[in-house]
Amino acid sequence: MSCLIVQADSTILLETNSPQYVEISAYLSLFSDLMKTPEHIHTYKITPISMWNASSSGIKSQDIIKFLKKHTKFEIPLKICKEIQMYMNRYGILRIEQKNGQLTLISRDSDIMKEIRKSEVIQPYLQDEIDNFSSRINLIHRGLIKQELIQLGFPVEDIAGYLCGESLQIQLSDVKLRDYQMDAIEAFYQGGKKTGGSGLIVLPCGSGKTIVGIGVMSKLNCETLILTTNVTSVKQWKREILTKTDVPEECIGEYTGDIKQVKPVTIATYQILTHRKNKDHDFIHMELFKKRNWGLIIYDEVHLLPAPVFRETANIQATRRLGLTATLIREDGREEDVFSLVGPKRFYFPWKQLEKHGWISKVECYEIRVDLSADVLDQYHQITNQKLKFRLASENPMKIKVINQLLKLHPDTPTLIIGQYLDQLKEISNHFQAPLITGELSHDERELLYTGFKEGKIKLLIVSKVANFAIDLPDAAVAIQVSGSYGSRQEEAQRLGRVLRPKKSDNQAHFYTLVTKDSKEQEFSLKRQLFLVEQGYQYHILDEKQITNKELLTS
Amino acid sequence: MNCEKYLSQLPQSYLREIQTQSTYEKLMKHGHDLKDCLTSPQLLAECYEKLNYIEKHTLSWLIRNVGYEPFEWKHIISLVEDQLSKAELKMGLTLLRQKGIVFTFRKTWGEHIYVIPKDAFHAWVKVLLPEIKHVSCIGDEVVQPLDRLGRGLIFDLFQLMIYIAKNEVSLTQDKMIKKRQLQKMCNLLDINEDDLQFIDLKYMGQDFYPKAFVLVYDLLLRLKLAEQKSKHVELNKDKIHGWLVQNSCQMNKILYEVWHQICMPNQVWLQLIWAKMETISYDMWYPIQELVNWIEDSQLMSCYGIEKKQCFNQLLNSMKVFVGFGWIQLGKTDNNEMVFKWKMNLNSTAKPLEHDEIQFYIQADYEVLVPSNVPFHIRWELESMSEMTNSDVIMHYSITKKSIKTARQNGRTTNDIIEFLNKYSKYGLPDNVKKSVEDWSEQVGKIVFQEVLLLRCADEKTFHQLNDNPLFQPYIITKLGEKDFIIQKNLLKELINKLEKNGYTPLFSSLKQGSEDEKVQFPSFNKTVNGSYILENAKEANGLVNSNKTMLYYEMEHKFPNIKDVYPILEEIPPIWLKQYRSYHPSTEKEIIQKAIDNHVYLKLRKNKVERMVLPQKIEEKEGDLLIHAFEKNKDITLFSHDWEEMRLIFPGINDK
Repeated sequence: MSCLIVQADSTILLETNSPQYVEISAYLSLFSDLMKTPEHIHTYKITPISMWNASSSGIKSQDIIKFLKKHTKFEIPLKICKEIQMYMNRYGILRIEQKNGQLTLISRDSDIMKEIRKSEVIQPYLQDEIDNFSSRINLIHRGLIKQELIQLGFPVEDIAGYLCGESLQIQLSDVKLRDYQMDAIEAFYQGGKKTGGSGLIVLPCGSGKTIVGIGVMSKLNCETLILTTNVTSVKQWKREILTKTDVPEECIGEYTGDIKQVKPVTIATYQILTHRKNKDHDFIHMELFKKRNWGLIIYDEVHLLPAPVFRETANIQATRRLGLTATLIREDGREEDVFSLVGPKRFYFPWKQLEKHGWISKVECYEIRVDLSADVLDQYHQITNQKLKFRLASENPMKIKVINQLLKLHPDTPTLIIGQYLDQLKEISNHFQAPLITGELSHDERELLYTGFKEGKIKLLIVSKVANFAIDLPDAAVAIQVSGSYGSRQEEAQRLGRVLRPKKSDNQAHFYTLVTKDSKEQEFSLKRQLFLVEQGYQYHILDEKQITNKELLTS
Repeated sequence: MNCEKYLSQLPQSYLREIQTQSTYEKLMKHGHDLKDCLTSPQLLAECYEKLNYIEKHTLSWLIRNVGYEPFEWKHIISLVEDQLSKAELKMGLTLLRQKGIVFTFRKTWGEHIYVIPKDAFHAWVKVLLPEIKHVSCIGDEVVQPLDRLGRGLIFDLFQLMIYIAKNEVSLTQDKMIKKRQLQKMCNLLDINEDDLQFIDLKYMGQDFYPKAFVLVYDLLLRLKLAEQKSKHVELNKDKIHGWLVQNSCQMNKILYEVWHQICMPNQVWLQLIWAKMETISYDMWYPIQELVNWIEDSQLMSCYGIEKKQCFNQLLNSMKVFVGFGWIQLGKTDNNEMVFKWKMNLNSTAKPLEHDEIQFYIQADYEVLVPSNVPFHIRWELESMSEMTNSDVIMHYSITKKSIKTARQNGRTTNDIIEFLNKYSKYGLPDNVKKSVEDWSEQVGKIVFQEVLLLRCADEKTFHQLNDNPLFQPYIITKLGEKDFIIQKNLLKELINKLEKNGYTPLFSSLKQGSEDEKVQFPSFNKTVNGSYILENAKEANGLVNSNKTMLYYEMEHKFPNIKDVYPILEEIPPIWLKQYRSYHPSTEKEIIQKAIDNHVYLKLRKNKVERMVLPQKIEEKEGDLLIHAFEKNKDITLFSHDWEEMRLIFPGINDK
């Protein structure tokens, strides 16, 4: 049964009810990026990067075209076949090799080499011409020339190899890696060959990207610099390394705004690396890249990698680089820099597969519409400022009644209440006599509450936007969103991530969002609704009166 | 226009005359109707055998030299040269008119314009000219299709209709669309100026409207799907309904026919090739060079004074227009040979689609994905409640708060919307989308601007008089303050009558009685899927493009042609001159020869029982002897009086058997 629609704008639509859905989606993800996954039709997009990623893993353009022709419902636009051939043929035309300590740019095609030599942006990086097909380049320009060439539409296959870095024995303790995690590690490591050692592992939220990173560290046994998004995440990495490897605590350093430790394994934030006094000053913390002889650099959430870090990454191309992410799509469109400086996609695993195997929990999303009380409604109509209207609707006091009903529906279930406004959260905290975690709380106090929650001593936690970042609350089965910016996909993904981890019992999680009916908040919540359905989650909209029906919610 | 259209415009008496021609007698007895006899190649082949030599020659000459272009006598007489005598041509034409093979239009001053219908022409090409070479199947694997293949003229037409339905398209005083809207409408089209670079269109607003736009807009007007009112463009609800329920195959056929009416190339050899091209199977690659070879093999190339390369290039250029329309695809084989294939099936009517084939997909993210086979009447309704976001292999629409508001404003109820989306959505309407549609729709109905009829009293006294009078109570909806009433609009006439009878003289203050320029809404055809579209005579529709088919603007000749009209002189000629060979006195011989010259007829000469037939051109007297300059078997000859003993006048069609 034909189940693909290939469009001229390079998108591919896949009908999910096809009996061959699993195989087809798996093959599609080798050469295209998954854009959205609503229930019935999933959208993929072919980009130059996605095609080069495919080429780098050995797939041929004719295989892709044959595959598309086999499964397409309608005729494939000619333009697409031509583009696939053109872009995929470009990968591998240029490569960087190393002989006797010298770097060489080699082209399979002398005409292309000729064109490249004419390019003003490339000329500064080329040294002497060896022959019509190759030129020598300076070691320090390995990253920059790749960056420029990809801009010209020519990706470079970098097989110049890596420096080993300072050795550090890293043994995994009693950890059982899942199959896909082992596959991901091997796809990156490639038996230590030059063709591996740099690139991206793309795994959904909750699939254990951290453990995969640690697995790679244990393969390479070298000093490692880990870059991540925030302090909470730094602590999470540290905790994971300590519990899952034999690396002693004294060998692990945190490099953040508060602490500046440089140890054999150092975990730093992007924020500190890009910190500078003002625009005229240098990024002094970038020195961290040179402070030790790193054998591996891990870029956590690589889609958030800031531009200055790219520049520094261009200078350390002889070091192995691992990017971890749930998505290849960057808000700033710098996917090409990620490809040329960190490396091509090495591994991808779809979240539906994770859900199928029970490695992440099934999540049902509910939007519950809550009325405003008559007096607040009057107030709402009198306000003209749209932001104030939104806030008033977000802080709708009637939401407490609904929270109460939801908590009754899920007794003894680890539950998070997540919100944007401290006053509202304090009120909820007081009402339910539950602890509140905000940015004001010290790390130690937070850790204490997290531990209590993990151990099941605390059943209900109220959290502010600190929950937007990578905190680890393993057993939350219910999340109730009472307010939010609702414009940020990142925020929604992180909040959803709180309930994704697998559950011991039925592996079912519930994600509720309370929205004031017929208000600005309802209008804004459409964005988050779209985000969730595009991710493929079941999304239900209910009136507050409907939540008394327990069966409805637990079905 | 096709044969059926022409026949439908003839009076019954005329039709009876055609039907009683011996050519059709046998076929009619076997139950064939006249239209079949005139357009089916098989039947025409039988009819052809029954034609006399003048009819055969004239028909063959017209097919090869005039095509289905309308023509006048003065035009063909200049073309015919020595291939037929003028008398033969005139007689042949008259006989073909009698048989309904050639149709006649009458100009203002009575001059005639003649035409062979396009479908009959195509059938005659099949009968009279050799078949094109059969080419074994050229597989897709050896063809590299060329990039451009238009989305389809029917889609462009649809896009303009939708735009007009959703927006008030205003006209300037010169009846031109305003620039800003023109730009937006142009942006909706897939056809571009490059597609049309090889056609020469003359149209109203040549300096203002882009060619691609005018082509689609002209079709919209010509098909009467829209009409230019004094200040705006308005859709024709009935016609649109009829059009939308056609399937794409039917729509394309209609457009193809209209296109031929307004814009087909005038070169006869191109018409011949197109006639042959239509016989090539749908979706099969065919080498373009083979069509050129066919012209050469049919010995037509020298006749048109063209060379093979020129022929090839002109043919290719004429095809490029159809590439833009999505009707033809071009490609190149591995051997660098140019090939084409039809992307429109002219020879079949598409089967009605099953319900599951006409479904679209509604995603939970409010996106609606519409495959290309979804019929246009369903797309139309969908357009009323969604916004198109992308047009590609499939169309992408988005259901938004704004689109639901528009649907409500255009008369759809919440139920209409939900029922429609549910009916045609392959996987139903996702819950969250349904809920949002209900919410948005509900919000629309909360406040409504409504036009009411206000009855204003000059003073409170009058107000109270009316209010207290039970006679007026049935007309009052509500009171407003101390001077005004809102009254029943539909009972206005009745109320006026009663007011006047009770001594009031109501005054009308700027009350509109309905104007021609009231904007038509986005009509709904959701509940009525049956209907038909009848293509009217192009002359009745007001397009912008000036058609080169001038006869479209004239009336058909209703007087059956009479052979006597071919030779009005016949009555003045002594019958004996026609009846048999005789020797005459030189002065009579001179008179007979002069009659032959004047009437472009033949002269038969006999000497020692040897006959010869000549077409005299000039007569001379030299030293008392008569000299005739004439054509004999297409050669110039000169005859002296000793070359004949007897002579006889031959009027083709009268005494030439």
